[in-house]
Amino acid sequence: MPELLKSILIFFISLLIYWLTKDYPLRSVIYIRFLLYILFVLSALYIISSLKSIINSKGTLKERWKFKLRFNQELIRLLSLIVILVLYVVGLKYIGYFVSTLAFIWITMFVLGDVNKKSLLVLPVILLGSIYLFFNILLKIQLPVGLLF
Amino acid sequence: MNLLEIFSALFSLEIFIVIILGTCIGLVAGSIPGVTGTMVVGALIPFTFTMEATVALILMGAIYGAAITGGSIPAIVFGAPGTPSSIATTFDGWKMTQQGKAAEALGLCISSSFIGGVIGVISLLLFAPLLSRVALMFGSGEFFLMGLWGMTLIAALSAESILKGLISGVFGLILSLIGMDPIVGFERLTFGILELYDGLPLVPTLVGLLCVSQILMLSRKTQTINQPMILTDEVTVSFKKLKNYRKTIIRSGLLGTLIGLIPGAGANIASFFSYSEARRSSDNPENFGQGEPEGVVASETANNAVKGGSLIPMLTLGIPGSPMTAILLGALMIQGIMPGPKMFTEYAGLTYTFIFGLMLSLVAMLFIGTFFAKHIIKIVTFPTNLIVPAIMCLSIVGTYSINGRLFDVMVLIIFGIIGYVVSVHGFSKASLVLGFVLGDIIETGYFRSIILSKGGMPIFLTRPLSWVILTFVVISLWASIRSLRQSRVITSQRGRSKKGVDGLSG
Repeated sequence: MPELLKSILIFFISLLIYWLTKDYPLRSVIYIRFLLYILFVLSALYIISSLKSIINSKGTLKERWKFKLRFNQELIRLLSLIVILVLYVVGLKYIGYFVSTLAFIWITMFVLGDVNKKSLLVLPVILLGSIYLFFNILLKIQLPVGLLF
Repeated sequence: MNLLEIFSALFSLEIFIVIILGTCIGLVAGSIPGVTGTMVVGALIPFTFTMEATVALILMGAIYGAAITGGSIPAIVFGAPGTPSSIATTFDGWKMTQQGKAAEALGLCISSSFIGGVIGVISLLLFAPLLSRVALMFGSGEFFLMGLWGMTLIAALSAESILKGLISGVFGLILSLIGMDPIVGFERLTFGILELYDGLPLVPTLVGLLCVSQILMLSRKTQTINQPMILTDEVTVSFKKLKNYRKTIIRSGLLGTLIGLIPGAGANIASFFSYSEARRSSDNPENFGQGEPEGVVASETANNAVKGGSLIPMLTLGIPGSPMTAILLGALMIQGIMPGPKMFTEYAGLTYTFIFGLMLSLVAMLFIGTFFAKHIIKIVTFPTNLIVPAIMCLSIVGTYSINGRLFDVMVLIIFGIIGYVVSVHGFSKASLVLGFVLGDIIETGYFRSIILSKGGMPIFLTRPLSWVILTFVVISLWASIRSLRQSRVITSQRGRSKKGVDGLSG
């Protein structure tokens, strides 16, 4: 079942791109349209093959169409990391590179597993120290400075 | 200047220090995702103002070469390439690490990088004037066909499902369309975002798709990347092992040098082509992408050979074919030297000292690279809650440092998530990247050829060189289809034999 959903989603994404480009001048749209027509054909083939595999699969009709999203530990860790990453980028803008990076390292370490005190101290010192030396001192690159400080 | 004078200039303490320093900086910079050799060399230009022209050029050349190899180390160890030129190394290098062969992969990577670099530098030394004429033969039609040739690699990169591989490749091509139309100048799919007018930023998009997605993948695990068994092996440079891949090395070295000659084509394209050709001519093409050492050798030889090739049009004609050679050209002009035919007559001393200096920097890279890899490999046994924040921080700072804008960091994260979703759902991340990288060459090459044809037969069907490339496109396509059929037969045979074994044991 997930394969069928994916194939339909791809078809709709292609349709969305087609709609977005509908007012483009002809010279500019020829190539995009060409690629989109290929994508329509490929997604149609994908839908057909997904339907075929559902029909050929064993189990009851209800089982074949079943689709379940499992929220396990792995997925929760992953989603947490994505949220932390987005907050980190926001933090870069408001509280600057070094403070937000320190917070990012510590929070990520806690979210992804058990941590000991030694690594809580050693990793940020080594990482931030090397980044400062390499980017600020050697390459003279100004790292993000926050609005607050 | 005779040979003795060149060598006496070369074997000085100053040059020695510059080579060691340049190699170390290049290796470190290359291994940070997002940071490329070009960026570091560009940032170091002000320091070279006071240096002698030879010393400045050798420093830049050493950084340039070492950064390519440096980028391959995280590609093998974490599956996250440090530079775009190492993308093809990831396909088999990362699989080898997962199989406990990280030390072997790193050893092959460094030794083949050295050989590739040597092939490129020898070509530069012996055939520069001749090869510079080849560079001039490439026009928009040839670029278009080169792009098509590259796209035939999709079949090789989509072992799981060719349909999903093709969908990924087409999406990659569509991503490359974002920004201003190169011919008409109309903005496409930018959603009014000013930063997208120049297209999706190449490095943040690639680092996101390949590196951040890999880190997201790692974050799902709580244990280490690999068991400590990999530490029983040491990273050693063995040229004996390379003997088995003689043909691949020569082919990849020559291909890398030739692609280096072509303005606009870089080390990433060379490694893709070389990987594709190695797979096509292999007796076991189905092993590619599953941890085949030959895949690492092909990619690494080619991306390092590019260096020598790309310097040829720059030194002989004053045409920079890549951002790195443009920086080197600028550095020469700062010193009051205008590259061109005079580089091999009036400035022959400087040119040959630089070329031999490049050779020395390759030797330095061999030793320092091995030392560097020996230590970095230990990171594989670290828990993921240390590796993930560390690589993520380096990727973000590396990406930010390119243009100094947070927009690039957002692109990095968005494409990291896209790359993750693509991988988890069985689509081909590599095909997506291939489409994105080659998209611009294909589109620009095709439309320029059509305009130049003035309504007649497209010029990519009229020129002899185009026909040579077109032949390669057809051969490569045919070989891809053949190997796809073979791998399907092998997969179904394996499936049948597994069923048989299961049946017996049941």
